[in-house]
Amino acid sequence: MNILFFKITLALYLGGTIAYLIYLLSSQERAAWAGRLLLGLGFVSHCLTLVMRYIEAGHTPVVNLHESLSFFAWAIVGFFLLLRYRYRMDVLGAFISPLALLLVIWAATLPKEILPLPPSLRSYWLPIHVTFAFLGDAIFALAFCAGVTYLIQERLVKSKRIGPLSQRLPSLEVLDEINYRSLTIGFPLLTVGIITGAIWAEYAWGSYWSWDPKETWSLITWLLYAALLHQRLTVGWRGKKAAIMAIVGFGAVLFTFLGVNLLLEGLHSYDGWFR
Amino acid sequence: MIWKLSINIYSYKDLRVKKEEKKRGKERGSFFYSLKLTIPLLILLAALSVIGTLIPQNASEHQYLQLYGKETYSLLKGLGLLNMYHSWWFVGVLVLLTINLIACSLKRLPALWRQVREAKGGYARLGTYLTHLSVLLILSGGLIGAVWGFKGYVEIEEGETADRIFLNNPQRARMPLEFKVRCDAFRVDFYPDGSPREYVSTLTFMEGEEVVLDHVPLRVNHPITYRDLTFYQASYGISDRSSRAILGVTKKAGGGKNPITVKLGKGEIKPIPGTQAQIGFMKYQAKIHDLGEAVLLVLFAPRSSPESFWLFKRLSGVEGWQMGDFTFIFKDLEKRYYTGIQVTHDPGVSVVWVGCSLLVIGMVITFTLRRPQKRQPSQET
Repeated sequence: MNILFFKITLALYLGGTIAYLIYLLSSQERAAWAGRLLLGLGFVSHCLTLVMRYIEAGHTPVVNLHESLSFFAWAIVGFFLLLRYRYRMDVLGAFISPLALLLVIWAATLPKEILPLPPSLRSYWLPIHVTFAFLGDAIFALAFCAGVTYLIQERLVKSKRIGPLSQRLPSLEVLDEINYRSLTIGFPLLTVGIITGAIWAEYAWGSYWSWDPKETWSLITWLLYAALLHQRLTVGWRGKKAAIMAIVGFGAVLFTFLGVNLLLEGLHSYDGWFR
Repeated sequence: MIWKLSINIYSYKDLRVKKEEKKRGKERGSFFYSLKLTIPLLILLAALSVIGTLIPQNASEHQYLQLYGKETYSLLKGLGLLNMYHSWWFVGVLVLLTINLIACSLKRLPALWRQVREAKGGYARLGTYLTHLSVLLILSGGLIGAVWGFKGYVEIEEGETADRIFLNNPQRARMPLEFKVRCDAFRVDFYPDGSPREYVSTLTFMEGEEVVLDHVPLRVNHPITYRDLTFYQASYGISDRSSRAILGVTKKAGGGKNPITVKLGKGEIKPIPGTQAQIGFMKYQAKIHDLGEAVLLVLFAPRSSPESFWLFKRLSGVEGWQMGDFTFIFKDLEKRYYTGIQVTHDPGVSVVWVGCSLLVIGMVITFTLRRPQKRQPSQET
């Protein structure tokens, strides 16, 4: 049942992405309206996917890569819809919906069967830790999209090509504000994600910090955003530099989430734990 | 990228900081409370941390030699890259950052105190202050753990009692316990599909002969704390020493249909009743290819050389497996488990948790109160 909803979600996100891209190129309000509607419906369907899978699995569905990617995409779309409600900016959708779509397509290619939870993951901290970690990651994804948009917009403004595209994109001030706001929400969420992970590690492994690659990369991400935060709040970095830093930071986020699991070895690949 | 960014930071001239520095002149220690130091240190720490995720840390010498060869191995070892998060240079950067953090906090203290006393709504500042103090608290918790804490490991067979553990240091030093821990039982629970669901040791804690905690379950994710030690379910295995193979043996030529039962401990050699031959049990394997459980046996028959052979539980079935003048059936293995328990003592943990709580509270205060000061609230509807 959850697979069916997942497919519906995928189709709706695809539709939403196409509509948003049309809006970006043609500036037709109808396309923005369609993109919003499709993405919104997709989000509802995505919520149902997660609920159904939770019921069918008997545990929070964030255990394998398919589930994690899907959950990440869900959080990104959710935050975007909130943001769009707050700032009335449809054009960011043209950057965020392809990202969410990409994640969902990737999830679609992976094995989807529900596997029983190994003893090391049978903990109340699983949903708490993972939820905070992904909410933070999703906020940083928004900051990343705002950063990319900022660079494009700045290039357009600087080369004095103030055409329809640059008019449609949010102003540099608004993009910078989104960057700042994302940081002030994403950074505490990342911090709570790391702390809840440490608490869980203390219960499961008897050590709140063991320099396992996942832990280390989350710390690296945290340090980078801490640097950006200090630059913003005290030295007064904003604009382009902050946008670049948001892009670099999101690179670290992605590596912490995916690179560590796919490229490195550690406790977070759970096979090695019980021999 | 990181390199480029740090160059940017150095070349970035912030007027405010410059002015302040001029005003203060060459005041002692001014370098340490400069934010110009903080940001490169944060980025340097991040960059250095990457190394340790690419080079496996604290692996065995054998693994390193296989990975890198002899020369690279000794080079990496010399640079401290094989245990880099505890190397002098990594800890050095951490210490520098800590000094910087303390210096910056001390510098701001008078201004903060003034603001709070005059009730000028310096709560956001207070939040920032709390955030930074809590980071110091977390670091000191880590330091306390590193100095006074230890980690150990103990394996206890079902029915046996342990009064010592082995420390996780290279010497595996033995550390006596002031109390005793008995493993009453160990079991693995399975899901219907056969994958493990839970590992459970049943433990009894005793002071001398007096039972203090009776038959308490120790499960993964559910440690037990007794006195100042915490016990974690970490691994398990089948005890070689106490497990017994149960065999059914029939003499091929003549001898009644009912097999004789022979029970053997590992390494044990017993005569097969009513014959001149002897049978020995060398090894148990839970799985060989997809043939399942098997035992390695040695048959000593008179006037022939000893012969070793694998006897599979499934293949020998009820019909038995012929070997020399006998037919063998692998009936069962009387399993005796041992449980592997990690034992930890870390007096710094509570300090770390207090630090973490304050960190979250400090951040929430900082980020919720900071905004109204910066922007016009009238824009909000």
